[in-house]
Amino acid sequence: MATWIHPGFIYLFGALLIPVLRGKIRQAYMLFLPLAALTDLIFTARGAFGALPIETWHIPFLGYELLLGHIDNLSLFFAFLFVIVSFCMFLYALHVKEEWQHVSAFLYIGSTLGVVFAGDLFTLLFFWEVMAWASLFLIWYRKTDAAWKAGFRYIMVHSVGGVCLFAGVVLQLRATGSIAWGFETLHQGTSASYLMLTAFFINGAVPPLHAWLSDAYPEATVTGTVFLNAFTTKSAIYVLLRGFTGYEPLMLLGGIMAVYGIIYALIVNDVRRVLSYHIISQGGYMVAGIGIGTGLAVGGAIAHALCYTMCKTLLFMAASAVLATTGTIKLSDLGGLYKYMPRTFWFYMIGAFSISGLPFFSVFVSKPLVIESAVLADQPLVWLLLEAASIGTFLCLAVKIPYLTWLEREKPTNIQAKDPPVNMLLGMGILSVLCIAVAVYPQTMYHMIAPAVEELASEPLTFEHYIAHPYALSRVIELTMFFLFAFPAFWLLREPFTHRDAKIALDLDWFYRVTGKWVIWFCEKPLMAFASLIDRNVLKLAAFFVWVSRNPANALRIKGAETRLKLQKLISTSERARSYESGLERVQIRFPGELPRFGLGASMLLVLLFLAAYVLLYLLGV
Amino acid sequence: MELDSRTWFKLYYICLAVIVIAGLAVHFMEAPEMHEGAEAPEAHGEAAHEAEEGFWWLHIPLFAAFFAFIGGLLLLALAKLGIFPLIKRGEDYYEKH
Repeated sequence: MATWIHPGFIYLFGALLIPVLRGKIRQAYMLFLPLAALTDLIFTARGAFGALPIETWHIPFLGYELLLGHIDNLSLFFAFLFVIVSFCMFLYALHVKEEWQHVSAFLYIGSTLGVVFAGDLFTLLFFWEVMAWASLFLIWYRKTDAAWKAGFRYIMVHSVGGVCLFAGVVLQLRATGSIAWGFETLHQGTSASYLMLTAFFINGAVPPLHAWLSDAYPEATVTGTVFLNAFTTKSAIYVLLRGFTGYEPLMLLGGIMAVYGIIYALIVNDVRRVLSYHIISQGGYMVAGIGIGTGLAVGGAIAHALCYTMCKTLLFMAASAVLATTGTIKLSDLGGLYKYMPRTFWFYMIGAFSISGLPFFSVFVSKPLVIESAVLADQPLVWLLLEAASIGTFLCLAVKIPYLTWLEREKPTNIQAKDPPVNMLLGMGILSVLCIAVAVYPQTMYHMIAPAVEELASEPLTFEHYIAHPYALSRVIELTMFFLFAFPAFWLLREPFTHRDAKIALDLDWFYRVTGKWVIWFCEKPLMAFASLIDRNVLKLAAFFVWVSRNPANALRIKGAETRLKLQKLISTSERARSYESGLERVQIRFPGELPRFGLGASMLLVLLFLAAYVLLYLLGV
Repeated sequence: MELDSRTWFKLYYICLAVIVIAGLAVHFMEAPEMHEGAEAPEAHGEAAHEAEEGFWWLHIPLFAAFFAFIGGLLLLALAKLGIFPLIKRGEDYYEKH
């Protein structure tokens, strides 16, 4: 039987050649790598390397055995998603000249695939860290001051996540003696599991650990944001599925996440920040689905990861195309772009309709699964939060953004606008087709998900019942009605939105951005002043001891004389004090002078004194 | 062919009317046995039966329409008029603080 090749390594090692290639060859090579990885996955799915699950690529390490290739239905599904989406992304980013930006993207995606196929905690931790550092350069390559600072905050937060994961791994190893990774080995409720959960929450942008996302993603390069949107948060969803399916607190947390993200998405001014907040909101559906843990919920969460990633990538592509051509992405600066960028507009609308979940658009076949699972699980509050976020998604992405960016008012005269280059349009075009195709014929996706649902979820039959009739007439009518009646709500309240406030909205990153500045000020000013004071005095003390040690007898004499001089100055005439002072100066100039000579007895006495002091201290246990 | 906003709104109103009629028709015709308190068809299984039952408010005719409209108004008002004035700051806020 042939040997399996890790698709992540196709990206990781493939990236090494990019800096040496030029022009069309490099472009062809950049498209070849995802296609090679896709071929690899197709062969894997068809059983060319054995029946699933497969455990391969064992590497001995520090007495443990690393498992780089844990291939089952869930990992294969996510790998397919990442590879297909990455092909469209590289097509979209083909025109970018900076080769190291491409290298970062390849390392980022390769390490994400490393996380997906990780069969042990060490491998997971290693690729988790590579993922954070590789993605950082997609932010820093924007080369603005804001990007530099946002990138710094991004890596600081992810470092905290990395430390949490590392601590969790160490505790898990100490408790079980095993580095195995998965639902069976990770006992919920232990310190190890809480630490790992914190790390997963940070990458999954679960509030209150979410602010890094809306802070950093909008500051990334034009194509960098497109890459960033898909992998970090979705790999977090993947590890949550693997380790925490059915963990009940996630239900409500998911609901809160969905509403929190959408409220911010409705009020911020930067379109890429709107989309970033919306990542948090949509992550809420998947987190809630994982928490509910039934077949319908888990199936919905997995399906949503695919459907939502495709349409969110499409939306980011359209937004980044606006940024690339107009030079701005703030709603306060935009308007009337439809005439100038019609193709981009329609691609955006396909993404917006998809993410809203309109019938025959991708999210229609994923999000309702999670919402209906909340009904089945008798969770009215979770249902309410998820439905509210659905309304918000439609109003924000399918009504507000198109209205303010593309349709309302004439295009401001100070911006240039036209459709982006053909490779960007092609990237958006392929994703648009996929967004519709997966909705029109969802059975292929459902059949891929079903075995993973069977492995992970309780009540897997609920999923099978649903997928038999995803286009039930009542569901189609209900959702169409839902969106048609949500629209007038925006129309009635559009006035405050058309004011286009060029303002930012404070979020929880305030705590580390502002208090961080205070901490830095405290470190730089009072703490450093105190440190230098201590430093000076310690040096003075050390110098004094050095001086004394040169001739302790004379030194003591001089110090005694100095004290007497001070007293003289206070009580006697100035002439007498002056003559005393000149006498002292002569002694000081002669210092250290001749060393005193001790007799044998005096020396012995000194030795005995020191020895007695030592014994005393030893006996007292100091 | 360019459509002006009036024509778009006419189309929208027609869609609203059609969907309301369709919604009512489906509600009262597709599963009358549910409204009469009868058992769900066995072929759907227990889970499907529970899903059809759901929360009581889901059985109110045109509930989705009311919920979407009222929910949309509340959400927009809460976000833009309730929360935003409290947390909005100038674009250079973080440079200054």
